[in-house]
Amino acid sequence: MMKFLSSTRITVVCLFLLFILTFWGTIAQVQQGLYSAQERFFNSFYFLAAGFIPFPGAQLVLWVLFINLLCMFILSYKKFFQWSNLGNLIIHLGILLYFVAAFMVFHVSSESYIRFTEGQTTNVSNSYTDWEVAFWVDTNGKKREITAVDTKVFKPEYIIPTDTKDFSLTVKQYYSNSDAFSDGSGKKNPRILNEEGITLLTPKPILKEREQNVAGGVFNIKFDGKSYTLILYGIEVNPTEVMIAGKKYNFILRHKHFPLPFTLKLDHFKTEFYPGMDMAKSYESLVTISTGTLERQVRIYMNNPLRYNDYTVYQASYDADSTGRQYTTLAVVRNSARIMPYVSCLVVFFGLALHFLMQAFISRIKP
Amino acid sequence: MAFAEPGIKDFKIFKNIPVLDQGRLKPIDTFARSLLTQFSGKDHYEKQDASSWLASLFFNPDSTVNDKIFQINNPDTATALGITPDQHRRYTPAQLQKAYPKLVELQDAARKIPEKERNLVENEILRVFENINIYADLSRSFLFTSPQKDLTITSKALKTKMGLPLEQNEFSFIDIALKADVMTEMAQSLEKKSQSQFTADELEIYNVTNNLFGMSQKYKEMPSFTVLPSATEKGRWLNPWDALILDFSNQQTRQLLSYWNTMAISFRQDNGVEFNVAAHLYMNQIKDALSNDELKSFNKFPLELFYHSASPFTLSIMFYILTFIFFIISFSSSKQIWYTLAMWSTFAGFAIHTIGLLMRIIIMARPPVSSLYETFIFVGFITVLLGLIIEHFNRQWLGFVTAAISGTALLFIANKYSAEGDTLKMLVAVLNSNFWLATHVTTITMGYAATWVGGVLGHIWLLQAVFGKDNETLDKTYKTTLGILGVALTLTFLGTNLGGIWADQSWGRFWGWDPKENGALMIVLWTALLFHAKVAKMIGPLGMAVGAVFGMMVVMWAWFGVNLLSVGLHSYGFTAGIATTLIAYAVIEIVFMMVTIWFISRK
Repeated sequence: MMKFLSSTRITVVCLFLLFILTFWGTIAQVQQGLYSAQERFFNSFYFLAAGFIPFPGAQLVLWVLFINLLCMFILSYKKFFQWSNLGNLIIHLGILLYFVAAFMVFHVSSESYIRFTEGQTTNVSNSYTDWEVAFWVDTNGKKREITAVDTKVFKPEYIIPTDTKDFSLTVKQYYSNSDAFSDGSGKKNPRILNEEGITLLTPKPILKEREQNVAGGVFNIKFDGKSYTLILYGIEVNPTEVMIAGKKYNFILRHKHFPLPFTLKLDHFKTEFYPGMDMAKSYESLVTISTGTLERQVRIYMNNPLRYNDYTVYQASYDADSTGRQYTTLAVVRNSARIMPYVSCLVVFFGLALHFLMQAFISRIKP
Repeated sequence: MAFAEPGIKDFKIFKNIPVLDQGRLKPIDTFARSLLTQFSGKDHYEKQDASSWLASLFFNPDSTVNDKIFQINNPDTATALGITPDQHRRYTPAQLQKAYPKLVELQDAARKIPEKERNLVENEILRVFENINIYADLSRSFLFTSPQKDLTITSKALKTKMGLPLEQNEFSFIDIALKADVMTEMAQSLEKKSQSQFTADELEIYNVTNNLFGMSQKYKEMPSFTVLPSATEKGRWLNPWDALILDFSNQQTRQLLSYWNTMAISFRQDNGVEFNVAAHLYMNQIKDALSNDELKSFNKFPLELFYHSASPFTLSIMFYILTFIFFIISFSSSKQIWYTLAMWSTFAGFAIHTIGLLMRIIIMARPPVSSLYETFIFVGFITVLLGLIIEHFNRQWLGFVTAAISGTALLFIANKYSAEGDTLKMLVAVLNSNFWLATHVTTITMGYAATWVGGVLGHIWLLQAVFGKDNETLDKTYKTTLGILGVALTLTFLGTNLGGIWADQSWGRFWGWDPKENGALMIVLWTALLFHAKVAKMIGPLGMAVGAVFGMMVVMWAWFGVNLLSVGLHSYGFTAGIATTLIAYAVIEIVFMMVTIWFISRK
């Protein structure tokens, strides 16, 4: 069994499958978008081609390749551990390390973003694609307790768990991408609660650029023995305020928040253009990072991110709102294994160089 | 006198005039070349070089209306515009002027279609529309130098007072503007009178002042041609009209504009001496107006002009072709002389190739691989280098032939690509970090080059096998292929990973399954597959040769095939052409492989 598993033929087949998958997954991005193509071809164990033919996904192929390599090491270590084969040995040890690196990065890293304008401060980052419903009681600027519920579990009639007895909240409809409308009458329907006067949400097909979807939810909220319709839409700036039991409750649907172990304040944002063109030459954010004990100023710009423990904050993009105020977008990546691919890459490269140089040398001395 | 010949022949000084275009200060000659290339696909017009044609457009626009400069590739586009398709697919400004209403209508419709869904004709409509507008803007850039009916002064008294030549009645905008102080004085006295009380002289003053103002309103803020540094704002450049309107009070700007005026007038009078004197004075003056950075670019202009006029890569191609010819001749005569000649010709081609590459590095002050065009030049360079290394070990033509084929093919493709316009381009922000650009892109393109050479060797092995070369020769080619593929695997692996590191540094992710990343990964996977298949004894020399040829197709895919997916290339109607060429290439390769395998297996 092990002998079979260690066969180089399996390696060839796996490499071929990966080759096909990479090609296929690239082409599919045109239609499907990067995210879903990635899920289907690369992150999966298998998928159905043309709707019914099962085809191995890259994750499965990589597992097989990993086992293949491991068995090879165990079975033919004698052949491997020879001076003339040193380069080859290093290559494959590096590849083994590569697998470990890939596994770790795949499972421990997470990506989110911060978008803010000069003068603003934040200690949370937002998910690109995931949403949450958050609510809290207005405390007039004092520390407040926010409850947030991930929308992943939402479906009609789902009762949102809350600690409070003041009200109960039930999902009526939840759309991953939607359009919002108001009936245009301008009159406020007392049964519908929404800050911006939205009275209707309609679902839209989910976009392949996942971060461009705008979620929307219609909820049933019951308090004081009456029930109301609460509408929350993903791009609303202000929360919907509801007076319940003498307390001012705020409800909002927003990109999922991740707490950060530090606070960032944007001091200054600067763009530089090529003379006479609207193509940016560079852009940078000057931020103050406070970590509780220490406060320092950092310039974040292209290829020069801010690093803090396993967090890295990059200059990602910028935009301006309708009033011309500029917002900077910083990507926040948490990755405790980020150095792993660097190391394995170096090892493999060193092995490759050594191996082929030795091969060339050997073939020169015995023509 | 020799100078009395009609037409100005000498544009040497004029060519050096600095222009700010696409984010870079460049000589007017480069601007003219890329403009004509954008219009017509060629960097000259008939026997006129680009600069001299541009001078005609500026100073005597009417003389260019019947020049066939607008390329419309698709006959359907011409028909749609109501123009009879031309055999050479080039049309005159006059023709397009006539079709302009139709063009406006069509481009409106085309603009409404999302960019990715536009077809060839629609894209071409938009391109032609842009081009004719640029042409029109440029033709008005120096209108202020030519006499206008609207600016007529007949009164001798007035002319004397303003210091204008008496024998002339129609004057140019700048003629009058230069006398602005006298004009204002006279115009002020008119303010108290009503129009009916005006004398004939006063009416003339009144009309000219009005028309002058009208023109200044009409021609301000035309963006096409920024050639004069702003007197008030460092780093900003203005087109001639704006300089005239905004900065005329500035002594330096006024002086520069009057040199343009002299150039324009002497151009129309075919007075080469005066034209060049004005150009010379202009060049002396403009140096003082430049900032230090601008001066640095300015000082490289002679090099850039030399680079364009010498076209080193075309010269290289000729030498590479020569090498190949010597190789063919060597079949009929086994004399050593052909080998020596081939060696020198390859060296010559390679040396010129290197110099061309170095010139680009010096002009742009950055690594030589940041646009698709530049990768062709650079990959070509590496393949020839590898060819020379192979020859050093092999000494049986193998390296020279590889170098000649690769150098010719890649430089030829590069030449095709220069139809994008100015190939010396500025970089977008993410690429504008020299260290990563230098390491990642250079390594991966070297990997492309090695895989390419492996592919060429694969072809050679197959042909050698078909033509029944002895086993020793075949074995040598096979061993060389293996070695080169080893280099290819090492370099593409390193290049791909450096790309990962770059992405991790700039965007926070090592790998994101981006099409370009995937393309590079496919080369690594394919080459690794070949070596493992060899170890598993699944393929022999034949399989390796076929695999190497296939590897070349993978390189093509990774290199520019993936760019077709997003159609992110702004290469005017060129992308579709590439797709067809790529498919044709793939088909030819597959047929070639099948035929050779069939021949070899029959033996």
